[in-house]
Amino acid sequence: MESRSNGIELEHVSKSYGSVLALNDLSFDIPVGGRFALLGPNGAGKSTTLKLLIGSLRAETGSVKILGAAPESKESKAVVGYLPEDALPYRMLSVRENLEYIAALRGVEDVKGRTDFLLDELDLRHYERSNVGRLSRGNTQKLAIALAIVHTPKVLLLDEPLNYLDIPTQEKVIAMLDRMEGTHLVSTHIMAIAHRLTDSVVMISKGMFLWEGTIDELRKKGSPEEPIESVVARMMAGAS
Amino acid sequence: MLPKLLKFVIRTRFSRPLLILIAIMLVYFAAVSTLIPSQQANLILGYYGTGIVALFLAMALAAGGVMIFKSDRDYLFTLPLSTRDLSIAIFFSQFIGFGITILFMFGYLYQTIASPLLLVDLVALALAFTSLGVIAPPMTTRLRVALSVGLALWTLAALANFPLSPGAAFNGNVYGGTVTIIALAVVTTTLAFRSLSRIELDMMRSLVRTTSSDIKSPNSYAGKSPVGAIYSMNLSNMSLAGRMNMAGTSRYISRRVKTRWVVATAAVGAAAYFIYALQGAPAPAVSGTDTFSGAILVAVVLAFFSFFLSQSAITNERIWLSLTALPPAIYFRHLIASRVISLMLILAPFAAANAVLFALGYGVALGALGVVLAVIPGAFVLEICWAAYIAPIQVKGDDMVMAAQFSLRQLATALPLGGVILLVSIASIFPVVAIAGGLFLCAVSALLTMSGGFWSRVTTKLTENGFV
Repeated sequence: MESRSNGIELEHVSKSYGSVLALNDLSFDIPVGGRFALLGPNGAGKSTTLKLLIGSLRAETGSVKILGAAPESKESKAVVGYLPEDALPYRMLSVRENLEYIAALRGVEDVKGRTDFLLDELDLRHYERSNVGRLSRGNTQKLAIALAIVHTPKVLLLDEPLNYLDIPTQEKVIAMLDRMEGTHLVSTHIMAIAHRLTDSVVMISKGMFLWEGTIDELRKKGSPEEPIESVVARMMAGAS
Repeated sequence: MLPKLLKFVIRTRFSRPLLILIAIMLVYFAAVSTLIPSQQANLILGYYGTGIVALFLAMALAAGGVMIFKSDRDYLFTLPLSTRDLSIAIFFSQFIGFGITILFMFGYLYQTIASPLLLVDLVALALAFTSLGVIAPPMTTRLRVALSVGLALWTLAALANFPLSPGAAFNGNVYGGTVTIIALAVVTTTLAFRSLSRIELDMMRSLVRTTSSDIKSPNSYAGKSPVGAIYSMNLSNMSLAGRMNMAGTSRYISRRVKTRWVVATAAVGAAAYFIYALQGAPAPAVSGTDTFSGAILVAVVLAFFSFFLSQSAITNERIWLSLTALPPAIYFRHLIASRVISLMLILAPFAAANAVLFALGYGVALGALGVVLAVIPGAFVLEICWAAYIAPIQVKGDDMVMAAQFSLRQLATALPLGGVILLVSIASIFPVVAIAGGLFLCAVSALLTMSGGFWSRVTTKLTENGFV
């Protein structure tokens, strides 16, 4: 591990799918402990960025680092938690089996204790023996969130984390994530969620860096009565 | 309206290149069949035909399902269409996806079966195969498994010269067998159409078989190391079919089965094979033709079984969980090793049966032993690697099939099966082929399993193919 000042680091990263350029010389940093929202229009490259950060895709050029380590390294895997959009846990396993299996896979010391804690914290106790294939979408999302944080990650990557959750559960998850230490990067289209879960924004468009700053700074880019969504839309439109 | 609906249903399930390929393959097999001497074809048909019919009828019932997409439920079923037309269209697409598989299986023997009666048998079998898949979903698992086993045993009874068996037509009893197959087709097709036409549109959902609600005896992974957890998960349970790729069809079996039950079933099968082999060739060191044929039949069935098992290895994987926890090379290496051990547990009773037969003086059992110990496990790993690399598909929901799954690439994942069937058939007769072929397959499998670069490329492919 080199520098620990950045939780997440992308430098001149490019990635294409066949002839489609998904990321084009993208660079941005997120300091350790930073809470950032990743904003961008559809097809901006947000999901590709997250997939590069977890090491399931590799950049063609440039470098990607998590706490100074390459995403595919053991060091990085030990500290990263990831929740994809529409996350699917193992359908053949029960809720408890999913949590225990992933906790064991991640080398969590007290697998049972951590599983029990998350089952209670996310109101999943009633479903602990349920086959995941039979859970409602909301309960599946709760389980997916629990699986992403089962090892108390230092860097948490979340793609639309509050999808499918009812309002009380959203509040519970927001409070839980707020209590967690570490670097968070939340990909979302909903500014209200970005505002609740983060304090800063990285905006990308067409695979390129567009803007970075705090949500307050973003708000100041518009008139006082202008909704922040309009400001974001204007900035994204300006980039296209 | 029906022709338009038929066209729509077929086009939404099968890619145009796949439909063209299906047509080409049917013609190709017919042409190839003219090159096979009819006497030889008849010999193959007796055991191979009976075995294939038993396996496919049982699988159709055990793994049954109807090809319905989520988009069908959301849009097609909400249109003001006649239930009758909808039933016919769905049945016909089901026929292309599943029933036509029978025609591929017997393709190179067309010349032999070109007699009108046997041709009727094939069509009736295809109808029965299609219909069983439609009838199966509402049944309980126990009933489905019991009926599958019953159906397989009834078909295999043809090998004991029982004339009123679905396999009898391919084993010398043409008339009795034909009457039986036609009766089976009439009953199952009637039931299938009744099932399709009676249901309210919303009830179509019930045809998509869902998983059970609770896991009755869950496993615990507390106290396990990361690698220990992988072995524990894959050795205790198995998903038997995962993805089936006959004619490009992709399907998912969501019920998990305790490995010990599968091993127990395999032990019963191996015992039956052992007794049959002894009865077929009572005197050791005799030419033992029946032992050959029984061994080939068992080897082919095991090769099919291991193929179905191989298709579930990657299909049910969740890379956002497993590959963010461990490096791909390490995770996949242990995943495959645990799956191979699981397969070997199932094959062990057959290996023991062949070993005892060999010790009793049945020299030919050595080939079958090599097939079970090396050829099938080696091929199993290669089938996993091939499917992961060529056309990985992740099963995400309860839908039995998903749009865009019926493609040439999907069909390509089944291609190695043809080579494996050929190899196990020859290797069951010639031990030297079994040993050499088995060693070669195991060596290639080991190299691929240990290759970090290969699994890194597979991870990229999985991600780019939409794996979550």
